[in-house]
Amino acid sequence: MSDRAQILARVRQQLGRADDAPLATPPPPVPQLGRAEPHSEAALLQQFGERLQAVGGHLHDGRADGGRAVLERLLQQHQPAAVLHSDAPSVLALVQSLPSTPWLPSTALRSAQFAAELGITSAQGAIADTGTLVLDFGVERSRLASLLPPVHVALLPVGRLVADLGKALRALPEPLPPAVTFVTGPSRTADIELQLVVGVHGPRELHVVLVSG
Amino acid sequence: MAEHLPMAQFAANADRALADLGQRRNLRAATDTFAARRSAVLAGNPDWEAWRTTARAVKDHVLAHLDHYLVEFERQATARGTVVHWAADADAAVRILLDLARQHARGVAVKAKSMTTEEVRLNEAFAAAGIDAVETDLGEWLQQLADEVPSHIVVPAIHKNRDDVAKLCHERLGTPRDADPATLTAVARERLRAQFAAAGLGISGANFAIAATGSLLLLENEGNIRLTTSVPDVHVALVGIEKLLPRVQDLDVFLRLLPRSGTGQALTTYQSLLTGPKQHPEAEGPRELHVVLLDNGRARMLGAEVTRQALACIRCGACLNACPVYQQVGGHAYGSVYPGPIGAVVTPQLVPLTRAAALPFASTLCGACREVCPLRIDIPGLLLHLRAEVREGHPGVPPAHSPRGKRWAMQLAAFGLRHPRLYRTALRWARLLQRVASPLLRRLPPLRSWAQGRAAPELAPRDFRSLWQQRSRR
Repeated sequence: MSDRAQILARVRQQLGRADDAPLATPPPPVPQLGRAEPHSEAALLQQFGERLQAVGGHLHDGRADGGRAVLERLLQQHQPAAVLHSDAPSVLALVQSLPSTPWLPSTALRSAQFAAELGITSAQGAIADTGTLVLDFGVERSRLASLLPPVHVALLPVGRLVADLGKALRALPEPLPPAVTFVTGPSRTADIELQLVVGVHGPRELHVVLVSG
Repeated sequence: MAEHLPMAQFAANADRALADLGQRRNLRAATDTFAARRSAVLAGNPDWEAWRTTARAVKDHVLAHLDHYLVEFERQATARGTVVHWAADADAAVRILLDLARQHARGVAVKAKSMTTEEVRLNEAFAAAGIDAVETDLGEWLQQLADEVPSHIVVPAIHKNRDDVAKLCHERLGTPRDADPATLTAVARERLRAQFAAAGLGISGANFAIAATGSLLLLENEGNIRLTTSVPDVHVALVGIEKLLPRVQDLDVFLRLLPRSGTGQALTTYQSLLTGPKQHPEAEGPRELHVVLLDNGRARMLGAEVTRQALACIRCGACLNACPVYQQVGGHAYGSVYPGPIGAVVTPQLVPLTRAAALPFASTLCGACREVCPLRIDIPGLLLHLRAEVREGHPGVPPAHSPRGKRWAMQLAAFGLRHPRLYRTALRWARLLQRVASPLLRRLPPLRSWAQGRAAPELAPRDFRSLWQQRSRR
């Protein structure tokens, strides 16, 4: 008997269920867990900024110029030897407009990507309640650009902000992409005597730049 | 290779752990901090009890129809290009993972923290096959460096303080003797980056598996799980069959409960929802995704409601942090991958009860674990159930050890309670003599060691019977 047949037979025997028995009851309905207060965009934005800051992230307003001035300032500050960028249109526009930056596309050799010192991507959503970004790697090559470099800059179209986790889950595309990651602040660990250290395996700095859209 | 202590000798393991005052201090500080953080994040949350109810209802539903959801998960995952394997026991799981490692690892497999891979003792099998299985979670990496098994399911090196860690890294890696946590974390990052770049296989567990979409959900703070599941060409996840949830939307409540209970965070830094390998050769992410569904004793627990509830566990670690026994003896004393209260109920059901007969007794039944459990698992009730199985001669289980003195005392008490007149007389004498006898008894064996750190309660001047008689006469 295969392991599959063995496991299913054991489970059915223990539960007293016949082969291919249908569900006796439907799964419990999914309740709406977020507080049901109305949220203006301004209120959501303020909450998002506060929560992001509380987990060690930084919020910038780049709505006037698609994030260009903010990015220039961050580049000035970090002087990265290589900047890994995703292929989102909003990111490619910045790549075009800042030609003297040492850009590295997400199709570059793996070893070069590992050495990048700053990564720039967009974000497909955000959650105000927790200060969280939603990154959908099915529509953007941002899986490594948001992870490998010690500094991650994410362009967030302001209209993508939702109130809570439940709304973000309901907003996921169907069918699901191969990978979606929710990001709340910089990479962190407290494995040594519970002391917080940021940037253990992922970015130690997270900058969210609001853009229009 | 790191070994567990013998789980049959919990009492002896605990005695040794209790003698390690430094470790007790570290455990106390860490578990107190976690408990405080948990309380802080729950304070003033009016929805907590409702969330617990919701989550438990979902888990109960899934477990009652587990065959249906397993088959549904397999169908959906396969449709997305995931290869689904089934492993009836630990050996089967190890065989599947070793086969994948031989084909794809190129000598190095990177591992994200996974209790399930600890359960099947994967690292030993890989070492024997000459494949490096590199732990990449910082705490787990430190434990591997120390050649020790994890001592906590969320914080593997919880029993070490910063000085212990600095010393360990100094001895094994030559870092400065007084290096601080930030420096050592940076060393780990650099060393592990090289392993991530070299590895051909990434091995993880999963916190949840979604039947409707064939997806896996993994939570973390460090980013090593993202690296493990994104960088190597092949990713394999070893997943217990109890991890299923019906729908993606069910994650809402579980993602609210788990981090709050575990580390006191509203949300961990990363949650990755993975649904199949990449869809185009030029896309990012692994080219193959394998999921191994592991039984290894879990199906056995489904039969009775009392044991089934242990499968609702989401491995948050809150019961470990809340347990007065765990706080003192730490994880290693249990001799099991799963220590603490939940370990004391899960382990005896996964391994033969004969081997784990001591674990259901490794508890004071104070109920703190049930109190904090986000899934409201009745751990004390389960402990009692398992104790009864051990005592009532579960086939092949020798009766648990109990000291002769305790047995005699219990027999004496039982005799007294069966004979009311004797009981009343004894009480009368005890009340008269306690002033003299109590201090004396406290100084004599066998009560001397028991009385250390305990105050014997004094008998009330009037007992309940005489008060009651007086009351009825009125």
